[in-house]
Amino acid sequence: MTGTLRRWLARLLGTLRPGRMESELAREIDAHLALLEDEFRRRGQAPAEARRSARLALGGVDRAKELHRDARGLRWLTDAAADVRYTARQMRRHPGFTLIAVATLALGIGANTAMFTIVHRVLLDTLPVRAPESLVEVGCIDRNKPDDVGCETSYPGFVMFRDENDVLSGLFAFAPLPDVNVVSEGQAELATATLASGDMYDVLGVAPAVGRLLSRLDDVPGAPLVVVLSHDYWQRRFGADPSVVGRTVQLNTVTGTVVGVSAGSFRGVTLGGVPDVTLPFGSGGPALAGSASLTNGSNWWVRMIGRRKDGVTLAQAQAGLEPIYRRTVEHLLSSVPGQIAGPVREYLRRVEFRLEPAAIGGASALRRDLDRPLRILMAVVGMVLFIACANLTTLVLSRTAGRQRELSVRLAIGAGRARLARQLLTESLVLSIAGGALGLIGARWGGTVILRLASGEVGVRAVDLSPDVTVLVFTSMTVLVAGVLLALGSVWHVLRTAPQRALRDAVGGHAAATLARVFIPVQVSMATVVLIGAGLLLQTFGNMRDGADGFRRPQLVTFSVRPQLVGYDGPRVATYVEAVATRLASLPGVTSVTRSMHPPGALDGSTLVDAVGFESAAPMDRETGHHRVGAHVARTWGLTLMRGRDLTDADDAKAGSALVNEAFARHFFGSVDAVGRRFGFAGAPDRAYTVIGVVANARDRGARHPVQRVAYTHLAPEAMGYGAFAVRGQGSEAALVTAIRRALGETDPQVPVVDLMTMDARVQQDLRRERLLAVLGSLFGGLALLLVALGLYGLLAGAVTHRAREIAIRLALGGKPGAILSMFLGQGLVLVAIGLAAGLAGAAVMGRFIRSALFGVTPTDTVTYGIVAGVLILTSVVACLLPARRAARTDPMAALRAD
Amino acid sequence: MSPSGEPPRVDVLPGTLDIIVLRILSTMGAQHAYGIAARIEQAAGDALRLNQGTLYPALVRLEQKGWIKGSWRTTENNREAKYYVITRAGSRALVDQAEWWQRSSALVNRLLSGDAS
Repeated sequence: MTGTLRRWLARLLGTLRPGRMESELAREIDAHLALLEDEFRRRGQAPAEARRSARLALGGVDRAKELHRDARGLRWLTDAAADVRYTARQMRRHPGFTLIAVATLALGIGANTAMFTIVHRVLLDTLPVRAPESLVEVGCIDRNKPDDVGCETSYPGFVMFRDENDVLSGLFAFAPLPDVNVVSEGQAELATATLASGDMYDVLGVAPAVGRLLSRLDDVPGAPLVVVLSHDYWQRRFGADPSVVGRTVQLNTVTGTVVGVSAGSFRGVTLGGVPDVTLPFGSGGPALAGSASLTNGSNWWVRMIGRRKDGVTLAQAQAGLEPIYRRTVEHLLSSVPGQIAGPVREYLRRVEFRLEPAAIGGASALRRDLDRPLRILMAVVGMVLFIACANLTTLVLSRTAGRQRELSVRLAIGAGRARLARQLLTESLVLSIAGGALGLIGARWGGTVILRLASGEVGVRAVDLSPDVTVLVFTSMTVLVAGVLLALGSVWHVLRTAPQRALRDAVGGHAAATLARVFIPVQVSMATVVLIGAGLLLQTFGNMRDGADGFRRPQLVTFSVRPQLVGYDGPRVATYVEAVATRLASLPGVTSVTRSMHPPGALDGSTLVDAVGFESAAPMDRETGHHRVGAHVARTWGLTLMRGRDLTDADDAKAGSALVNEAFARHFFGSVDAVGRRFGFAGAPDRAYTVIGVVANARDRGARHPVQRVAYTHLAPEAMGYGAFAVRGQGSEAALVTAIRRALGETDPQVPVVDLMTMDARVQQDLRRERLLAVLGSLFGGLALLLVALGLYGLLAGAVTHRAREIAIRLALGGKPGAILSMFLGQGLVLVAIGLAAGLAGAAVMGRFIRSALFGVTPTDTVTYGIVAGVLILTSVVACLLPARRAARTDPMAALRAD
Repeated sequence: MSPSGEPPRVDVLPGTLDIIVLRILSTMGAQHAYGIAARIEQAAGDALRLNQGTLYPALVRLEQKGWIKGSWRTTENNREAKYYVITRAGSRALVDQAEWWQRSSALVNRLLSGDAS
């Protein structure tokens, strides 16, 4: 079919270079006419008549030329090019409209792209490893917490899984470590760390960027300790210096050798980001996680990911591994001490062995954290885009109505209606492409901002926001949809209206008004939903941030220390701790200092209480949190003392004094005064504690957790290998922080200090997710409100203009301006009322979905609903008032004369 | 049947003009557009209604496919005109198209005359 191909290429050329062919054609037709004329003259006609006959015989010259033109070029291409040129001219002629349209579209499309990129990367993206779809995470599901995927097993359990299964071609274990102090060439710095099996990189199919990665030989107990750096860490800390490979570094108290750097594209097994350093279990486990970590069958701390053998399905793999799981459970139960066996058994009953595909970003804290907020934001942003497009559609349609003259002329000289519709569509697409391009650029910036709001620097580093093919496809589709939506009104109008009718001005305006009448209630209802959501999220954030949490937060500074990381043993830790405490107490303005195992508001773990009357109760009834603290804890933290007294220096380990919170006192001792009562902890029967004071409940576990029972007992200084300090002072918080930092540096610069910040800042950090939702929700709510107001204003302004004649007549016949005002006002408000009613109902439904993100406020909080309704009505009234007043103020004579 | 009793005039079937032009050029040698049109009218007599301008899209189609080639020459009367000749590819195409045309028109005729039951 070379003929056809040749023709197609020739047509392409014909489109791009029409000039030459045009002149050649003219020449040929002139020649043809001349020959025809000759023939007719030969037949005896007069020259003028011959010429006329020649033209007749040829048929329409212009028609011949047009047919030739169509045949020689690619019609659609020529037309499209003409359309685009025309659109460009239109846009230049109406810069105001163009600017508004492009800006609105850029905002809407950009926001959607930013959200989608994040959702795509965090929720949908797969791990950048070989054949990610055959990877599975071997873990379990807690039936009470179905969102938390992935739980741990013990190291011996992992070995059992690895050696005894026949459904996986590879299985590796990994476990995050607490931050490790890495000393290289004399410089010390904390780094995130993970233990991993020697064949992890092999199973995943990751290549090294420099040097080599872990191997099976490194995983043997007793092998020399080796370290693999992440690509990001290698760049950040070592400036991508290749000579790092082979260097000896110190990790806490042991030394290891750096053997390589993992590839830059490898962003970790879990989507929280790749750890800075990766160490093998065999040598790293005993060194950094405890000497018994690899042999203890009752410590479940290790996660596993494996690769299914070819042809083995997920279900088959799960069935094949289940017996091994049972054996690990038996192993666990046989090695726990008696008292804990009960709660452990109960936990195991709740938990179900499960294999999950590990391809999707890995089950990770970051994904769990962001999952629901991201889905909510995605929906919100989509709605805002819709509202914006709806507004623009009406705007475009009104403008089309204003172009009646131009359009009708084009119709009159023969442009088909389909051709016109294509022209309008081209205009909208050009606008939306322009908006989309701008939006794509802005999306990168916006996405970074959102991530930083959501998860801080960790989040920004963990997620790669550069647009890939999927994102570009998504953006293109959004652009297309937006463009089509924009043109919808105008195109529909042009196609359905007979050309003669299209000549009349009023009809176009009428169509615009009809469309707007449909759109406005929809927009209003969407805006209502968004605003109510924003209001609820704002309140949630406020409740969590300002809610009384039991601590007196102003002027309280906390920080953690890790002397254990630099190898301090018990006595040396005690010396350090005491030195720090003395130093801090002597700082100017400091009124109180205390220490604790966990910082205030970050209590972890729980234990069981032995109290009179509670010996045989169910384990859950005996549970309590156990805060190990120093003297003056109530005074420093600002806990409200309700009965008895605070812990003092005299309350040392021997004294056995304990503070308890209200919940504890009421639960274990009822209405009797708790002061003076005695209790113990399970597992330490010879240690009895006496209650010396009762404090009001505080959010010891953090802003998000409910208040629980807590007991505060003495913490020996030598047990503070990992510990925290709290300092209360007067005056400026910033000055206090600086002074503390200097004091710590002077006391002992070697010990790593972590999270030195005010209590307020700490709470803010915890509430990052809530703040994100509140901020963005409000932003988009405000945007939606603005767009609705603009839409309303546009609708009524247009109506007033188009009905100017009717208004003039009414006024001339004695109608009152007030009646005109209320008529227009009423028209607008009726639409708002419909939308509002729908929106309130929709919000009640939506409330169910965001219930889990709320705190201290119900999804159907009447106050919020009332305020939102009021704000909407007020805004609508203002938006409608302006054009309505213009209508009422019409001078009837002037209006009638002008028509 | 028109009122005057003559068979109605037909327009050239779309698509057939190409093969007609090829045939004419193949038998008559080099011809210009007017010549081709005159030949068509002469051969078809009164039964064909031809709008001479419709030749041009056909000519450009054939030229783009490489089946005919045009060049400017002078006529006997010293007028200039663009003469077209059929190319070798065009001759081959003519054979193929003619054969296809014969086959499909025979089929249509057979179906219309009620042979198929």
